[in-house]
Amino acid sequence: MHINKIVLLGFLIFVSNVSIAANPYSECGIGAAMFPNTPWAAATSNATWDLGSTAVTSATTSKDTCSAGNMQTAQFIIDNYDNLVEETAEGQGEHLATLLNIQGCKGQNRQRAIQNLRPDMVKHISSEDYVSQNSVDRALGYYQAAQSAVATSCS
Amino acid sequence: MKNLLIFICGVFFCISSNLVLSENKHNAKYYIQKSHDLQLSKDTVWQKLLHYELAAGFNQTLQSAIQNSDFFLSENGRTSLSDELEKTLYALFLVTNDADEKHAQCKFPARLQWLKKKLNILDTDLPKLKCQNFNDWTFSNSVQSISMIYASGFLGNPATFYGHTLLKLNSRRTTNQTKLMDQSINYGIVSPPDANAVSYIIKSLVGGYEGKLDTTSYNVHTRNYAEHELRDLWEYELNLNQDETDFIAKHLWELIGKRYTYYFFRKNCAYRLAEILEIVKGVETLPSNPVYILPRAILQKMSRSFHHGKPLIRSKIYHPSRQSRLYTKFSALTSTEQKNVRHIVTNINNFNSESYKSLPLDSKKNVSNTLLDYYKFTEKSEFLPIDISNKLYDKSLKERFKLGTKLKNIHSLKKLRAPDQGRLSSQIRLGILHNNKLGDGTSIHVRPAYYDVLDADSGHAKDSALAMGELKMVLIDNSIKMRQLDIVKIKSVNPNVTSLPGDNGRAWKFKLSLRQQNLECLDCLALRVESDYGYTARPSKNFLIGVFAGAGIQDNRNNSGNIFAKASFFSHIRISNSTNMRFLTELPEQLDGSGGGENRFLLEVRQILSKNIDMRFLIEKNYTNETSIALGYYF
Repeated sequence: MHINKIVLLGFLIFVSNVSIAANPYSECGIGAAMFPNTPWAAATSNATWDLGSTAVTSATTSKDTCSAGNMQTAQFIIDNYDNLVEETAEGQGEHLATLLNIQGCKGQNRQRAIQNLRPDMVKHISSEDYVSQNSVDRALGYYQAAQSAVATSCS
Repeated sequence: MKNLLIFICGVFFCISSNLVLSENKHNAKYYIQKSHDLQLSKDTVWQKLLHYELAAGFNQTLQSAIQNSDFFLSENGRTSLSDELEKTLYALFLVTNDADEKHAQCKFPARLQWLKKKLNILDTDLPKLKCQNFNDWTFSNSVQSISMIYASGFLGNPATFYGHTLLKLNSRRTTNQTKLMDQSINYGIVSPPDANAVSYIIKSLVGGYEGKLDTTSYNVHTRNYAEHELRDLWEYELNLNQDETDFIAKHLWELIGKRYTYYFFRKNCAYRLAEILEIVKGVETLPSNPVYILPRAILQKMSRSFHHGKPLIRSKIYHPSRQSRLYTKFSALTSTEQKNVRHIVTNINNFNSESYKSLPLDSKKNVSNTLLDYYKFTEKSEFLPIDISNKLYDKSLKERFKLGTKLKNIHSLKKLRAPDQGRLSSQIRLGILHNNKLGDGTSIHVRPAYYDVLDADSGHAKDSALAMGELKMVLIDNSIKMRQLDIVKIKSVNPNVTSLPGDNGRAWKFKLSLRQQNLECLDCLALRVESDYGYTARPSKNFLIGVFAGAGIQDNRNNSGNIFAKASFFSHIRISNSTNMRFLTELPEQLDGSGGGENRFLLEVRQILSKNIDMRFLIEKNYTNETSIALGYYF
């Protein structure tokens, strides 16, 4: 029982650190400031203009979600989604390297991160609703997969 | 006695402490006086830092080209070099409670660097500031070199016919930055989004718009140019030392958001960015042409320049567009792989054919990589509805993921000639001609810029043409007559390399010209504007054929009528690397007026004699026959 609690606590810490459910496209930036209670409108605003450089957060968001690094990552993903997803399939490329750099993933860890990212992206692009997803949803799927891969491989 | 001693000691202490202060800590006044003594405000670098140039119009006075008042610290800064120098020195020494970012040291770091060097200003004399915004922008002062980026021309947008340039600050790769996150600086026209094409062209020619310097991450430009507009990018890294690199980076910081009057032909993006590089003594980037400056001419000037005894250009890097990547990958495929690509495309992404299944793994990767580029390319050409195109792309992406990472045999990028390596941009051509009706004469042909279907070079659109102000004259019987003035001439042909659906040979032409109605008349100049739309096919790599249907309006001279339609057929043939030719047949039909248009036939052969010299042989029929041979020189 005691061991189970430790495992559960560890899992919760891990989940909170990698911010699996975090959505910088709707919870951060100018969009979140303008539409704090309407995530789709916030995400649309952020996708149309950009996330902005100020770490604006909505009331319900953790501070980490809208850190400068995460905002930069989110912006880079939505701006360069096609190149990133193609390079992820290939397992290498300039955009992918840039993304991992932004996230501070270096050396041998990079290859591990890519190896961890690929299966998550296969799941993402194979999901039934992928075809109907808009650019923000697609970018969010990549963002979450990348966050998870980096948290697992680059710490 | 004791009091006297104390008084003398006190006086001595005061004098000696003042001496120490004046020896170790000079103030602004001291350096201002020194700048006057050295006549520093007349220094050319100071003039360049303030962007002084001769004012437009008849009043040829020196003044700054920058229109923002916040670029100047003196009220007279735009017109007085000495006032601005004095105020700058005051401001650099100012101790204030305001935020650091508002301080002159943070706003004008290049002025500070230059003045410190010229006046030997000690760091201890100046207030200490952090300038966090500048440090963030330069990734903690990690700029180690500067590149000029050239985006090839885009015939779909008049503002970018001649290509575009921007600057990139290359950060040290030891930081967390990669090239795509480097800062870039762009000078672009500021025009209202609803400006119509005619107003846009006229205003940009006569200085009716402002141009503005902006900064953004380089990946914004790679996305816009290489992915969306399908334009190749070339990066020219400059051979500057660290001090010079810092100087330019600091000056670019001073210029962010600053506005000038924009002139399409000369004081354009290429000019404004090149002149910034010239703040470094000995760096030469601007061609001497007083009428127009083309981005490609800047590259050619830079590639001929030396700095500190070394070539000014340290390295050149090619960033192919999505379209170029597709063509490179497709051309490198084996015939079996190409067949599979064609089969999958025409059968709505059917990866289940026996032919595809039997391919080796690397071949499958080659095929799916090519398909990814193909669908992104056709998305831009709007060949397929966007939702269909996206679905097919997604299917290819899934297939690519399935095949695993890393291709063993990666296609090497096609070695293209860099834009600076080609011929120069302007041409004069002199020749002799024989006209069956008019007799013998001399042909004189001047084209300020840029290229025709036979001499499109590196950085130009192949099989296309772009010219403005192209003048053709003849000297017959001691009389010079204008044959034709092409005010604007554009011919755009999609290269159609793969012949896959969507990579078609769509083509269009537009011409505004003043021209003789036919070859036998030298007093029949008529203004005409014409436009054509057509299609090309490429039976082989070196052979292009095409057809156009078009219409136009013209001056009604000799009962020619005002409106005409025409069909034309043409062919471009590349015989060797130095010889090519074109054939053209035009069949016009007058839609009003009593005069009918006469068919026109033309055969032209071009032979390259050296990089900047060519020879042309021309046979033309339009009412009468004319044959000419001419020698052309590019300058």
